[in-house]
Amino acid sequence: MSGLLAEDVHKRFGPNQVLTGLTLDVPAGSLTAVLGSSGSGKTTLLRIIAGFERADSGRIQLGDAPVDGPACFVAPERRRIGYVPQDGALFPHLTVAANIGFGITRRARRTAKVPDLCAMVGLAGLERRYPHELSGGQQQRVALARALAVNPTVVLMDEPFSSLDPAMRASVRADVRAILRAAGVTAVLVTHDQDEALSLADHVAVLRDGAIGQFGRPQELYEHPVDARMAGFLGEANLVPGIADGRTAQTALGAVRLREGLAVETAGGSVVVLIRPEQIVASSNGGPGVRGTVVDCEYHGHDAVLTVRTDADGHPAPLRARTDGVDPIAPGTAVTLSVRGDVLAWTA
Amino acid sequence: MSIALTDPGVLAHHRPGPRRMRTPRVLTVTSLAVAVALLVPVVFLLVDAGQIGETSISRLLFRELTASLLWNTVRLAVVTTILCAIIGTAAAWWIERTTLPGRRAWAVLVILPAAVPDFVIAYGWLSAAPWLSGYWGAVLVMTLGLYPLVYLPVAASLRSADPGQEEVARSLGLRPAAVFWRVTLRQARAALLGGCLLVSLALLAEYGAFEMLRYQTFTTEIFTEFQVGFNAPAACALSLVLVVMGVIILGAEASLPDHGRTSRVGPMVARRGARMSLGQATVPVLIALSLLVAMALGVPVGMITYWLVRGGSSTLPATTSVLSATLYTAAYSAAAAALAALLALPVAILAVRHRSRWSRLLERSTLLVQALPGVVVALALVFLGTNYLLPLYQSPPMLVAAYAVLFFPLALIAVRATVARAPVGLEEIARSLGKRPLRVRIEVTIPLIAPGIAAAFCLVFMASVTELTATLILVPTGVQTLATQFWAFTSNVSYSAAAPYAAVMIGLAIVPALLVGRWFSQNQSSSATLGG
Repeated sequence: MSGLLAEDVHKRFGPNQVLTGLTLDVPAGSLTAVLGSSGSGKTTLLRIIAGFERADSGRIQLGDAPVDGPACFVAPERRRIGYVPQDGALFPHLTVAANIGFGITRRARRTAKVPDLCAMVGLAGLERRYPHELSGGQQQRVALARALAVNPTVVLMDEPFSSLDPAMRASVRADVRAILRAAGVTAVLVTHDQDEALSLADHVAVLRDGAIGQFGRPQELYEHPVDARMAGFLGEANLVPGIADGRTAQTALGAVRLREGLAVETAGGSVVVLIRPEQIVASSNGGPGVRGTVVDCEYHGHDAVLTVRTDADGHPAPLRARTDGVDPIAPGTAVTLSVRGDVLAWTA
Repeated sequence: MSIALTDPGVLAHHRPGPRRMRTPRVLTVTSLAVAVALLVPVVFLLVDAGQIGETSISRLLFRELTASLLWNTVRLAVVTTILCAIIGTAAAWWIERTTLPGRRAWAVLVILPAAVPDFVIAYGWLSAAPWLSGYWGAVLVMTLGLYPLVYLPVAASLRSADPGQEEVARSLGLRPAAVFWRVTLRQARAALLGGCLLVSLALLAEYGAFEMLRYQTFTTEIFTEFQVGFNAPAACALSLVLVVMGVIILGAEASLPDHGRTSRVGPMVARRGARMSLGQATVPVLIALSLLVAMALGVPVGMITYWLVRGGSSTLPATTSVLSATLYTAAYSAAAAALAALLALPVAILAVRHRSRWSRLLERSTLLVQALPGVVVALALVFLGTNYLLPLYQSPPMLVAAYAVLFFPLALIAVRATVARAPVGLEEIARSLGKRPLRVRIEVTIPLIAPGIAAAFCLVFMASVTELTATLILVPTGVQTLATQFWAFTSNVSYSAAAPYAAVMIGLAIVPALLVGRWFSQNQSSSATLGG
């Protein structure tokens, strides 16, 4: 069942065509991340779903109910949408309890609903505080509780974690995911952070050029991007030119094995091969493979990413290779590179 | 329905163009009503002028008197505006950006003259130096009375400007003086121009001080023609010139390039830059500020005190007690302040929240009232009253309406600044939580902009208490306000009898003046919006 459906949505602001026939079908009860670079129209999409903007054309449906279309427009206050903006946007003149209870009736406010929600987001005991007395993470949780208080059909979150400091982000993310799961509500989150999208969401929709470029489960997207550009968008990618020949392709890194069922397998000719950094094995104690020199080493603790320039003529651009962080290879070291696993390729 | 939606051909028929979000009709209608109400005086001035006839108007205008009035008005406006700009900017810079001792006290002292009506400053100076009159007397008194109009916005904008820009300029090798000219002054430019606009419009409108100093401008002449010569056509014809001058000033300011482009990129952090040390200049600056405060505040307050202590008798019997004049003044001013703040609310919300060519035009047309001096609004209302609304003529509602019209722009500026600062996101959230638009206005917008509404009330209240020109013409029969009774006494040179009225007038105006000063120092974005 569909929790939220956007169909062929167009939106322009003056000369800027922001959305060009966007279609997105969010399964009910799931958490879907809309991933896009800044300025790609992510926020516009959320604002259209929430009813703060009108689509120029196209259709929005919440559950079975059409809310925006050629002949209908449902005002935001009648959509039952829980909207959580980037900065939380708590009402500064109201306490935590009053913020959470803002959207519910006076009678419901007297029940245990507000304290329950407060406890649910881990803020029990802070009901009488004002927003400026809360930390960024706490504000974000209040904003979520406020959105959930109205029993929304859909929760929309606009980069909800970007204003938090990195140390806090991970824990708030996990909490939010757990809260949404417990509430069983359909949720859409927009973000420009591919790491966040892949790790948090049940489904990821990549927004580019004003439409959804690809939609699927995180692993599907990472492993089967529709094209080379999408591959670069969903994580670090080495895009290496090569010549396809049946199940293999010849590249600057030697012969690599192509994944089964690719279109280039039958077509042959020159291709672009996707090799993820974790697929490149760099070894400083000789062994088989292509020779190269480590130019730079980004040390992350749990792992390290090497920038390696190969000696081969075919591929002058440096390659990125992920190694474990136990014994990172210093810049200047000569290494040999090999590729493990199958790779994707597209006709160049 | 489902068939229609899946068939693209049918779908296309349903879209005549981009779909639009609707502006709430209540808001549009009320704003339009406010704009129309505000422009009534202009319309009636034109109707009045139309009745005089073109030949009579040109006979009244093209004479030597008009040329000399024009010369008097222009040379006063230019010189006084420049002096106010220099004094206001220098004081703002010293107080906001340098290590001047006693900055907090100075910040209060330099804005207090805003609470002293210009004709009371003239009264103070005349009773201290009776020989003071004419052009230089007018320049002196008006500069002392009006420089706070430059100081307030410039100080607010210096306080909110990004100190990082000055620091970067220093790091790029600019000397302090060059930093001031090329960075600091640029940041405060919109505020400075806005302040200068207010000063020059106030100069066009002033009557009382010029009358006391025997300096003839358009406004004094219009007043004399109407009140003494009972020559309504001449007053009306001269008013047209005054309105045209006001519109020219407004238009010139609005057409200046990069008007109001003072925003900073990135988050609005309330970080303050390091203050500049005044070094050896500290003592001269302290002397200069002391002199300014002594001249603008010390002289009028000192002379009022002198007359109060000395006492004395007046040959003119008071037609009203100080208490009753105070009550009437406070009542009329409070009513006008409430009315103006109320009227400003829909216009400000429409202008900020529903931007379109129409809403901008509507806002502009209400700000046009800035160009209307009190005497013109009063004359237009007299014309309206005597011809169409006789029961209202010289009744309290008409005086209150005149104040509300005259000072509407002050209210709009204050309310608009806070509406612009109230995040629109909060209103959207409230709607997504199920509140209807009107409830959102009441539960979210109004609490958020309450400080702006209070500031609007204070500004209009203060301006109404100290208003003289329109009050003299429209004061209800049998009533004297503080300003009119003060005026009656000083016209008769009964300076000591006039003193208590001046003292109460300042007392009534000073509390809102201090509140508004505080509001300005907290409201960072008001500077850019001041002056339309």
